[in-house]
Amino acid sequence: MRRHPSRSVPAGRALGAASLSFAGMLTATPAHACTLCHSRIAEEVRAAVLGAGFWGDAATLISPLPILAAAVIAIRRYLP
Amino acid sequence: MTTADTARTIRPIATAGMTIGIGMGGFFDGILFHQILQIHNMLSARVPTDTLLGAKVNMVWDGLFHAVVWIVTALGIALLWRAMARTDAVRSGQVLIGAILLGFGLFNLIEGIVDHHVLHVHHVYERLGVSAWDYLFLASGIALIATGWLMIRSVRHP
Repeated sequence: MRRHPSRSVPAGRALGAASLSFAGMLTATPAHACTLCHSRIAEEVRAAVLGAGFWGDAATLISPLPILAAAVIAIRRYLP
Repeated sequence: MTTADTARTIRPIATAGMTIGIGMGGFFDGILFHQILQIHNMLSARVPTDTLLGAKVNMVWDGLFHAVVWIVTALGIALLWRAMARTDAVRSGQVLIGAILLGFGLFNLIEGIVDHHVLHVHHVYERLGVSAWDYLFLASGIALIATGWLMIRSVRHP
């Protein structure tokens, strides 16, 4: 008689493996590529982005938006 | 009486289309110029990109720019969803495509004027500063606006 290739895993063992994986994830070393987390370059990036000029740069980023919204509202008025 | 009999206005679908077009214009700029070609970045006229620090700072601001245009696009999709539910709204593919082109053009024109010519946060080809490419960017905006407007206005209304 052919045996089915899949075997069931006991629930306790599966839960144990999942717990071990989760614990490993929590204790893993943070990736040094993360821009805003750790490493020397990350600290410099964080200081540059979130420094004194942050709100000015953020205002610059969104500055076209009010004009775009006004343009859409104005054009909408001329449509039937 | 069907929906087509009561449809009277193109405003809902045109507003949704323009909003989606603004978002897609932003994605086109960000993906093509900032990421693939890397000829400018969000703050590349203020923070040079020729160091790792400068490149990564610009990368963060490019990400924030993409987050903003993602929100604009999501708003456009929500407006389109609402427009589809209205019985008085004309449902026309030509109006939708025309409005998306119009919104795309608005993005190029207004973002180009504000960021490239007034605030000078970046330019189309950063190494040249303000150049013919910036004026070509504005011209593309005007051409897209005109094309979209003509497409919208050529639709016959009931």
